Amino acid sequence: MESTIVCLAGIPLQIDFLDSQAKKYFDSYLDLTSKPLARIGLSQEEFKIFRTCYDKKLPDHYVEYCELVSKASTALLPYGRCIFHSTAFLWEDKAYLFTAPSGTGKTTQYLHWKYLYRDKVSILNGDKPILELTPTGEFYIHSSPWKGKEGFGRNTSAPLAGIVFLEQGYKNSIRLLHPQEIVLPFLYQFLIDAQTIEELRMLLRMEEAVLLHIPIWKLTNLGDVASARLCHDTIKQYQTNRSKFL
Amino acid sequence: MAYYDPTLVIPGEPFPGIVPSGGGVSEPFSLRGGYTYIPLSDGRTAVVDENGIVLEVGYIED
Repeated sequence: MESTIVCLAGIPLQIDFLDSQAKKYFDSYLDLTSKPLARIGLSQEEFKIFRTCYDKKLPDHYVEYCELVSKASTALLPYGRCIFHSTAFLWEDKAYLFTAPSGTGKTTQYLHWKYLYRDKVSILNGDKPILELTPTGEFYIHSSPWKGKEGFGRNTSAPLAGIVFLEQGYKNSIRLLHPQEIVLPFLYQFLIDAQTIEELRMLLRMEEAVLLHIPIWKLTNLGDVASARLCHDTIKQYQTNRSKFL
Repeated sequence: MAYYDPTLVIPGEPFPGIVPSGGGVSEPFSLRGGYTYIPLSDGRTAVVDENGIVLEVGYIED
């Protein structure tokens, strides 16, 4: 069995691979000098079960890479970090997240922003960034090796400034959500393989902190460029009004 | 099957080839959300807008 050490959101993790070819997906995150704080890997039994969920044409190393995400996320949890299913991008040196179930249009919404605002926005991670809650209560978004089908991502980090929950609809509308409205859908976006009550408690503490301190909008949209403009202008107005009171 | 040279594909610049669009899109290209996804020879994906400008290229690592 081949192993390597990667650094995810500042935490060194040892990964034990069943298929050594899976290692290549982590090349940009190698950290061979640090002592790992946790160790992850799939058992042969787990892999056999997961394998049945994937297209037979996909290679085993790709399936292993995909399934390591929840193992990594769970290993990061004691360190105040967790992988969150979303598209993360940078705008004015802050990170914003588009989150939604797969197939809702997270990547397309980001591309609409890129189309409209060009160099003012850039991708941080296309599918599975790492959310960090620091001991002092600050939130950061870090990239991860899991970047989605398109592989969009840069190995960088930024403070989290807002989250947009996407929903497909027959017209474009956006509103700020009350935390109570989003507790369950938000929880489902954390990628975790929680096995213990304590792990669930840690996750819920992180979720509560995000819901209480980070603005979350719901963007019901047609999937068009106008929805991105509406989203951009709404967030911009919120940030402008907020800065007046700080 | 056309796979484009990734060294010529630069975000923010025109795509260095013919960008299929609308009804002209077929495998290995795909059209999603009004943008054309173009496979590059190194396995990455370029996303191009309707003006032929490259918006993003996949597997970017700084």
